Amino acid sequence: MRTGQVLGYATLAIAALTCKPAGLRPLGEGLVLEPALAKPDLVLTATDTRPFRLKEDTEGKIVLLYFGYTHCPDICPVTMANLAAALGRLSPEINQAVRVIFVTTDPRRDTPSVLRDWLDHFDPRFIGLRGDSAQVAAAMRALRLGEPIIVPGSNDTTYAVEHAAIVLGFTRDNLAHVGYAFGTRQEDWVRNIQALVTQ
Amino acid sequence: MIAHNRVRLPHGLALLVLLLPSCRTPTLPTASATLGDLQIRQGFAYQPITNASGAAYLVIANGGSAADTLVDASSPIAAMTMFHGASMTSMGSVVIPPGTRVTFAPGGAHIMLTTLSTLPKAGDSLPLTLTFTRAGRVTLELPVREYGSE
Repeated sequence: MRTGQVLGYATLAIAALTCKPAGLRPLGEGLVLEPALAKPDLVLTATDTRPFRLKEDTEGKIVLLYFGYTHCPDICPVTMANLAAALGRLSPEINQAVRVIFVTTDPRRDTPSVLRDWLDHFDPRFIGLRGDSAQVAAAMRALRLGEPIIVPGSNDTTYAVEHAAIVLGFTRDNLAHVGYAFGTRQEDWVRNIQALVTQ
Repeated sequence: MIAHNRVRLPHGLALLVLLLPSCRTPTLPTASATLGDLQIRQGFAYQPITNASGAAYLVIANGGSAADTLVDASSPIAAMTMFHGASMTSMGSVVIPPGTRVTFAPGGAHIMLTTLSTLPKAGDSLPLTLTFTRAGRVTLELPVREYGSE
């Protein structure tokens, strides 16, 4: 490793420490997925209760795909809020090219209307999808996101759902070459979404 | 592999200059309190989206010589309050050994409030009472912030 590189890494480490906002780690770029992941050929149900074909209905679009649930305390809402804010800072052309898709890992509590209301809080254009648990778990396995795990609560309605916190970025080739971890900040999203659209 | 590791990094000082603009993260208000040997800091809550649940965060440092245990949290606006670990498992109580700290922060452990009677907005405060076996009880007024405001 060259001296410049060592200095660079040291500086990056110091900058990462000093610039750390409450609880969030600045991540900058995404995680490169090698090999790239194929967009699943899944048919799920949209919040308007119509079928949504994940592959066909997003053909030619940049897809930011996330699996989560509306009772999620922070990772899901922070991710959706940051995506909405970043899209708000980008041009109408870029917005037109992007689809944000949220697949619930909690179809029992996330009814179509619960899911719709929750997504509308961030951006009414965000697409909410439901499927049966086995179907969603299989899709997550294929995307190497692991399966959601139900963590029982003190009663039947207070359970939590542990799930991967990665947003997958699918390009027009229907492949995800990159994933974005929790901690990706709004300015990182602005740059990364622009890169996905214009590359 | 993280993409930026692939980029041949320029000289350290040049990089520092490049990174400085990203340091201008606004400082958001937080609540703090001292209770006996306990220092409670960085307290805040997110503006809940629905009445179903909300989440509160804080850091508790035990500067004393004996362990203390956080046994309860409550808020007048929530029917029930739970401690959730990073893996979403419920914790009945949280032990804070002497000289250590316990962190509730986004992406990790959090204090979950369920069945809310009102929805506080960003800029409001959310009262949260913590009960410890040794130090006793304290109420913090947690500043409420919007998701994504970091």
